[in-house]
Amino acid sequence: MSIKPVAGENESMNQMLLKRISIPNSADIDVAMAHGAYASVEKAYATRPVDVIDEMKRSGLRGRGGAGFPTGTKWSFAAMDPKMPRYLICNADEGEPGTFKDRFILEQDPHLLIEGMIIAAYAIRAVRGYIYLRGEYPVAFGILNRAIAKAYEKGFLGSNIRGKGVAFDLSVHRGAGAYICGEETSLIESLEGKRGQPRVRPPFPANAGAWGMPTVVNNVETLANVPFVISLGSEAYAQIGSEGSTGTKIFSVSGAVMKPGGYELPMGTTLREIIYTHAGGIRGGRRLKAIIPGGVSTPMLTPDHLDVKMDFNSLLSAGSMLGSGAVIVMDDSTCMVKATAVIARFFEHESCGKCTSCREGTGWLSRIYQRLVAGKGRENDIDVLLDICKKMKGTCFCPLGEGALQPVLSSIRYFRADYERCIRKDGCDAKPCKG
Amino acid sequence: MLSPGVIARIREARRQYPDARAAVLPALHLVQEEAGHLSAEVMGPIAELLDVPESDVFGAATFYALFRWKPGGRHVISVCHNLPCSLLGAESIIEHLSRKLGVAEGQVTEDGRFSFQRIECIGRCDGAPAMLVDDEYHGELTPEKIDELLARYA
Amino acid sequence: MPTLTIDNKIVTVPSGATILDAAIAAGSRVPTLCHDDKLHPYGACRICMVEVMGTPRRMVASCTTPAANNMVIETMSPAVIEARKAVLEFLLINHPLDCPVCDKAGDCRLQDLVHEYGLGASKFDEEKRQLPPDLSSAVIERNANRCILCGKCVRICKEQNAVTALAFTRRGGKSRISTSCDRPLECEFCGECVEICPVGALSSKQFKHKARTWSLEETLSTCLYCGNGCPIKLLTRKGRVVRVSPARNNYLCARGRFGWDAVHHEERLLVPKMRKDGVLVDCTWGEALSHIAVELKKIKEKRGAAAIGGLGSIRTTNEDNYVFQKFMRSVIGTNNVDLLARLKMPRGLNTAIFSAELASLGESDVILVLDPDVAEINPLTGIEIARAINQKGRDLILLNSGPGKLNRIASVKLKAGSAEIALSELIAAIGGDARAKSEGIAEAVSLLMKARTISIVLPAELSPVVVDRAQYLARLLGQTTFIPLIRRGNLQGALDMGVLPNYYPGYREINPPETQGMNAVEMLRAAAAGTLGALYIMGDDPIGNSPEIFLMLKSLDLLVVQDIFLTATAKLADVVLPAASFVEKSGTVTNLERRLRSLAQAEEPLGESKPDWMILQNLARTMGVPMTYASAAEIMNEIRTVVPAYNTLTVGACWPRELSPALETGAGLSLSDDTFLKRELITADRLLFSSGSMISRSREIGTLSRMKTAERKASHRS
Ligand SMILES: Cc1cc2nc3c(=O)[nH]c(=O)nc-3n(C[C@H](O)[C@H](O)[C@H](O)COP(=O)(O)O)c2cc1C
Ligand code: SF4
Ligand code: FES
Repeated sequence: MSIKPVAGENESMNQMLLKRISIPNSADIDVAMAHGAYASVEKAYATRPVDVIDEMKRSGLRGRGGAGFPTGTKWSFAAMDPKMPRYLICNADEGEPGTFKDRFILEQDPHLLIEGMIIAAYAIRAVRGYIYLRGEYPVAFGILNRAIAKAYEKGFLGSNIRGKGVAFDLSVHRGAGAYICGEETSLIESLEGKRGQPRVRPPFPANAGAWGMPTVVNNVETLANVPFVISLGSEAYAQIGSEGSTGTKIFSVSGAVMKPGGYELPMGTTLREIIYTHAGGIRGGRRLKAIIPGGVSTPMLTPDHLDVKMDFNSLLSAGSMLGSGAVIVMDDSTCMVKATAVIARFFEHESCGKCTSCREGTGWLSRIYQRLVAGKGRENDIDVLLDICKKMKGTCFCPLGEGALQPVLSSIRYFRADYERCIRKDGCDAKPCKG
Repeated sequence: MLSPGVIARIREARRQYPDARAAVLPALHLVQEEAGHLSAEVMGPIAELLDVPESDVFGAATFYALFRWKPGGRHVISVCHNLPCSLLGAESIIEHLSRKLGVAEGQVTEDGRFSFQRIECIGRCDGAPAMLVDDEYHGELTPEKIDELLARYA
Repeated sequence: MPTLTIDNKIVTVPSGATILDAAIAAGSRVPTLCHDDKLHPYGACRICMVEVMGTPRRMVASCTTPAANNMVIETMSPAVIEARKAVLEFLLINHPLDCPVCDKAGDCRLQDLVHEYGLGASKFDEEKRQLPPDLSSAVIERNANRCILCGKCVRICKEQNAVTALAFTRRGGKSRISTSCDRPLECEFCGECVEICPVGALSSKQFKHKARTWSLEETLSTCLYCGNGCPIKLLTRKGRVVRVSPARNNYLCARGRFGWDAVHHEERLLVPKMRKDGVLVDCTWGEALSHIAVELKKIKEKRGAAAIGGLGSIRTTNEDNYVFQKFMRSVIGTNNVDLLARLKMPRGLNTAIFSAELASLGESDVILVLDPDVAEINPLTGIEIARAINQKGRDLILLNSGPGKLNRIASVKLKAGSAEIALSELIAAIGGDARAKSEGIAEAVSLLMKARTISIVLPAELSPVVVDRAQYLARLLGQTTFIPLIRRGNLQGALDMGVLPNYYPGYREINPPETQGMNAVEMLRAAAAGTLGALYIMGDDPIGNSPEIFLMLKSLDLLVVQDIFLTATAKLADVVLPAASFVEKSGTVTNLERRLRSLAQAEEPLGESKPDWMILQNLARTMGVPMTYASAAEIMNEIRTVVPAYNTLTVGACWPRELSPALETGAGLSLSDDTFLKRELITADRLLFSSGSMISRSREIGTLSRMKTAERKASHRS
């Protein structure tokens, strides 16, 4: 590997999830255990599964995969369904462009994830787990497989974990390049060996997920929080973060900043602090132009939003979403038409093709953008783009289609002037368009 | 059409699941790892081995972007062209590669050493612009760094 | 049972119902493209959007959203109309506007909806998708550009047919419905995909450019190719059938949907033929009938009525068969009437053990299939099994199947030497016998023991031992129903009509036994021995099935063959009478469920051909015996008075087995014990694409048959 993992250099007192990664060989089970790995397993096993779920509910932990669903509540749904066997799936698809937070855990602290999964499996009484790992993470694939083998050796996985009579088997299932497989029902289809297209709901995975059985799907970061909820106790855990968003969050900061990287900070840290204090501000003395706060499917924000707190509720109020916490920063050299064109092309490529609106809408949007950046804009293109968004809104089968609209709508809303210049072809203040 | 080694590994993968169909993706990965790419000839044997309709195997295989249908080079270069990388110059990296290798995207160099393609975000945005060469990541790419890197691959 | 308001109407629907179901119950019309009641909910096309009122209002796909208590739904609000227009506009992005040359025009859901929603000019001004059509598949043409990706074809092929030849391939805007590696279709060619396609993406080559759909007239009828007797719709243009469709959204196999074209084959018999100077030459009806009348009388006078025999047909109607046996009995005066098909008939068929409604398959927890060829022998039975497994989650135990379609969905694959061995081992295992068993027996037993209801599909070649064992097994298990396999058309009906040497219509036994006639085997032997003078064959081709029979029939004084083609048997005949095909006549047949189905005339009889019963009636008159049926319906009225089971039997209903207590034993109904003739007659195992004188003259099925043969050869080679 030739990239250094650039986890945040700040050593805030709240750093939990990324605490071990700065230790050399942190993926090694002995190193990890010397620094506390698996300590929470026995603590959890000392209580009943339902107690673990209650603890999770009290902690206020919400899913880090994008939707922010309360984790304890999700577990309780599956635990209430009488069907057996139950499955636990870790969503390691990390497909939202700009997101690389799970990678730190997968590559550098896999035992934290496995520990979280062991506890989650105990809580919902799942005896089988899978880590659905994106195909673009070949390095993590090797590391996880080795870590799982070691965890088996040490008796943390298998038919009688640590002699406590609890069984849990775990393996890695590799994806193969499909953003939609991050969506949990598509992920389950893909795990079952099919095309990753979303399922009709209901039934929900909690009742009929993998192979029709009760299934919990949780993001890597969510599961990595679980050992801390257990070891700190829900009360102490809930002290971290902000109203309605407890705990820390790993923000993946990329784009035009001095120090791109993953920063684990309490929920509710402002964009300003993230970008200027931690990521070192804008590169090359440029001015900030636009921020995508939660991955490309979340609406863009402007410098006016710098004081917005990065948590579930505050971002909603600001007209955007926390999403995966992938902060993509753009400076004043960026043409927003061009930037949005890249995103539009991405969604066209990733639409699964199942429903009419998303399949045709993303393609239509992208074709217009490709024409725009080729210098062939037409007078009514902005209207057509807005009209397509209106047609797609509310008519797509799954959130991917809705996500595809956000960058289009928000970039037109805040940066209409870029579009007009592009169409009038009188040059941008940004780098010149090709074509 | 499948080598005995691959068949054995597919069978082993199959044991991880309650249903054989789940081993379709592992099987496709294993075949691609061995042969460098997928082909029409392996669809039937995989289908038969796992007792899944062949059209379903093909349907799944063509759904996922990482499966290739024609031979790549000895080393496959995948350059991220998503937003964070593109903000930091992914397109000029792709242009440079194309010039340097003397082939267009998706093609193999004359000596069979490299092929290159675009890929969606590979989760190395903190090292943008980034790329994968086979299973190795390289980030903070510049034309000079690429020239230096390519020399390392035989 | 949620109660909700739809378009200001309050409806209560069963729990589990969707908003779409509720809307239909409320009388609201919600358009759909990807939804079909036969398939799992899918929700992809998005045309069925409705608005759920409240704050905020929500747009939902009605086909996949459960109806909930107190919902208030509008199906025609301005927002709904906008959403539907949006979906239509999206669909038209890539849909070519080639309606003038599309066979689907007039019957196209998309065309109708675009019209209904008055779609104006689209803002879409980019390039359309261009995909190559598949013209190389047999029977079916695929035009991917017209495809709206509703996936109905893929889903019917998988969920209902268990064939899964079609699949979604690729992704996003490049998505395409195709086969593995985009090869030409390799499947059963049932054409269900063509039928269910809402647009013109899948079409029948047979129908290509034959007619515009709105110019077609419909006649409801029944397919006679196998014992399933599926209801069909004959679509005619200018008095000629151009297409066959299912009568009411039911399944049809390739034979039923495409095989009818045999009726227009150039080898159809158009006029009677007589042997003159050793050669068959065309003649008039008058000449033919008087010749037969004279010859029959001569033989009867010289050698007695017992020297004349008749073989009825399982390819014709109940009415034809009824008149046939009546002609033999009251005009000729002999009980020498029988069906060759009884040679292949399971002994014990028709006994009380067959409850036989196919619907019972879907109600059973476990289905035990003892014949791996079930889906080829009775395709609909195969479909009902697949549906029970795929859609209702039942378990299938399958005996000795190859790589066939049911094999893939079977829970247990039994490997045993034969049905007989399998049954014996199951019985022994249930009785606690722990000795080594064939593969799958243990798993099968555990499924069977858990099941509350069981269906057993018996093999087509059924022996008394198998019937006994199956019945014994059933006594050990829970509630069990038996499903028979019957290869050809109207076997049940022909038996019911008394085309039997020992029973009158309605299974009234002929007494004393000495007055019973010769059965089919005895007649053939008598013909060979020279003791039978004349044989009258209606709608059967024994020589075609088994060339050795040529020698047995050679020495007859008179052989009359009544058929639609000049079959191998007809070529040996002294007189050949041209019969009308099934599309050219009316009547009824009785399928393997003992269900009465009707045929209605869609075309005028070709040339001078006539319905079988009418030919027999004319012959009776020529022989001086008055017979005055004016129509098939009139014959049916008589049948109702003679056959108790048909007394009040309505078309579409099954006659209950209790109505024929005489059949409890089934004795005397099967000739399958006659091993000598069985070997002689049942030469080839003729399956889906290669059975019978009619199907072999279907151009479409011929294509398929040649293809299958080539495939088989290729796979033997490799
Ligand atoms: C298009 C789409 C892509 C998604 N991608 C991811 C992903 O890459 N990783 C992830 O954890 N969740 C992803 N999600 C969210 C998952 O559907 C799901 O909500 C999540 O895995 C639940 O885990 P959590 O409760 O721990 O957040 C995605 C959702 C959508 C609609
Ligand atoms: S038919 Fe309904 S009816 Fe189907 S997706 Fe379309 S969304 Fe629905
Ligand atoms: S966008 Fe290129 S690695 Fe993330």
